[in-house]
Amino acid sequence: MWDNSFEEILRKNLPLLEPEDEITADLSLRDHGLDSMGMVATLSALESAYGVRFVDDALGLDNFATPATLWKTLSDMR
Amino acid sequence: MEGWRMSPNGARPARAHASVDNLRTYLLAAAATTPDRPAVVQVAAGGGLETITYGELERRTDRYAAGLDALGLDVGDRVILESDTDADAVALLLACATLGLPFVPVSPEAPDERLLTVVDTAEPALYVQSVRGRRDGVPEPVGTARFGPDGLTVERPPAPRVRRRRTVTPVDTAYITFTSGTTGRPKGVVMSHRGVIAFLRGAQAAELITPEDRVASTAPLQFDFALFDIGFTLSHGAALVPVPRDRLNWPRRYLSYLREAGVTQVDSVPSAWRPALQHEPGLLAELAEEGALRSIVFTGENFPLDELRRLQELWPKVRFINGYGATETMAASITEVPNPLPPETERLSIGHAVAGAEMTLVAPDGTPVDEPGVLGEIYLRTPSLFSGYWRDPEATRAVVVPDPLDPGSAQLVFKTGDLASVGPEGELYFHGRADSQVQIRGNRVELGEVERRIAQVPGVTGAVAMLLPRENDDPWLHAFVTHAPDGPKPSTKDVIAFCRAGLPGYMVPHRLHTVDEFPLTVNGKVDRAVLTALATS
Repeated sequence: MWDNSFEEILRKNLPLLEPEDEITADLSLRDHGLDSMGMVATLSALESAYGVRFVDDALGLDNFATPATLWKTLSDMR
Repeated sequence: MEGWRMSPNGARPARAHASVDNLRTYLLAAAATTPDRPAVVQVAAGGGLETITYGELERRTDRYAAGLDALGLDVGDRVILESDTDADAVALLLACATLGLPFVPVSPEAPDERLLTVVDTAEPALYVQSVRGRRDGVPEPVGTARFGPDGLTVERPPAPRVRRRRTVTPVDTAYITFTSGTTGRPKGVVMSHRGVIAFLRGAQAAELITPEDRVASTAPLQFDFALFDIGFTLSHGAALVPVPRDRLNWPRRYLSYLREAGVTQVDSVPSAWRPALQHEPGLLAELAEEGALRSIVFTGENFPLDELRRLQELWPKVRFINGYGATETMAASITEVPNPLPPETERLSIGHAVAGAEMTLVAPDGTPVDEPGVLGEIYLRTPSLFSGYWRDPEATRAVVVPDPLDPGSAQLVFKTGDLASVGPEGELYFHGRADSQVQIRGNRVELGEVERRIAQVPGVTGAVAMLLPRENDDPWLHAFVTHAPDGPKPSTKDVIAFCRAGLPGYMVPHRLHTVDEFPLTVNGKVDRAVLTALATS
């Protein structure tokens, strides 16, 4: 399971998520407002928070589909 | 092919005479003089880069033209082309031009409902997608086909028709692009061969590139900026470098692609630079220091000056070119921006129109504006004037109007809807729109179209859309809705999903606010200032 800092970064980039909404593992990030610009901002925030650099292959829409897929992508890199 | 007939006049397939303007002839001129020069540099099927020469581009064009010819289509029959930009898509649109078939570019990212609306409106004879395309459900009697390395493969032949034309003239339609429309349906801008070529000739006079250049194209094919890139690059005998969408979205992949492909000029909307500027300034600097980048062309929206200045600091030797103009005339002006921008500059100049065209500022009472600093509407006289809006003579008459300087001359000019002021040298400065059209990442959007879509959601009784700026970031499209007092509050998710099913991605709101009623001004109009305050609180 992910930590608070991950959840905070996600919330900041999901404009359509209401404050009372819970972030579940299979929440559709796109449906909650994560667009291409939001993905780049999320990527950059995750990289500085976790001290990682996403490799070229990790930069794909599939990895940014849900909190679960994104957390797995991030965890695989740490 | 069975079923189609020919009138005596249409007994031979129609072609344009070599002496007259046709997009194919104009853009493939280099195939005769420099057939081995690169026309398109793109990602190869197996990865890596491949080069398609002008000679090869012409061969592919002729092959597609032969495939289309066998379908018995007549001059003026529309072909929907759903594709990203690549050499085959360019060859296919040039094949359409060869036969006088207007092409209608559509993005593979367009939702099904949007495509069906375009099909319903344009009534094409044929719908074509790439062999990799995933669209289905295109209704009969529209024919369907795929294009790719094996040429054109027809899946369902178009309905039989009578061929009556024998020649492709310069006033025949080259393409129709669908943009956002106020009536809730996309608006079709009909452009002739003569019109688009007139603009490209004017742009050539600016001498921005040579055949040695490699021009990166980033706009999706249905945005006429992509057609400008194709036309501008090929008419110079230079090489087009389409940037794949999955690279464009990631600054790191995008910038490394530009370097690998040896790009010398990048054409994009200003906001396409924002993610790289925010997250990868080091890679940006390298692009000009170690890469081949010499110039960028931007258009479609205002370039925020703080971002422009930061980009110039990274690229002191790069030329910055500001393109201004509407789809209805392909564009209007191409203006070099000083690098560095003088510190006192508050607004970029859109200069003077390209060679062969002229902009005039007109006050609301129809008289010309002569004094510097006074706002007026831009009227454009140009040979690149579009033919009109598809099946909408009323909307056409509203913008193709008698010359305000010489109304008796029977000369028609384009009333742009753009407001501007004039500077000391007669150069113009853009000040926004006279209507509620906005630019979202360079795409023109009628807020009324977004509002109409949202108002169709069950339970929603009214909708107001507004584009509001954010500090150091993309503006967000906000939607405000009212709902029936006895009904439930509409769910954000449902409203957004409904928008996404029918509108292009850039027209889907970022934020939704439910209000009990719309605040009104003393004049009874929706009070947008109050809504703005609500959204930013």
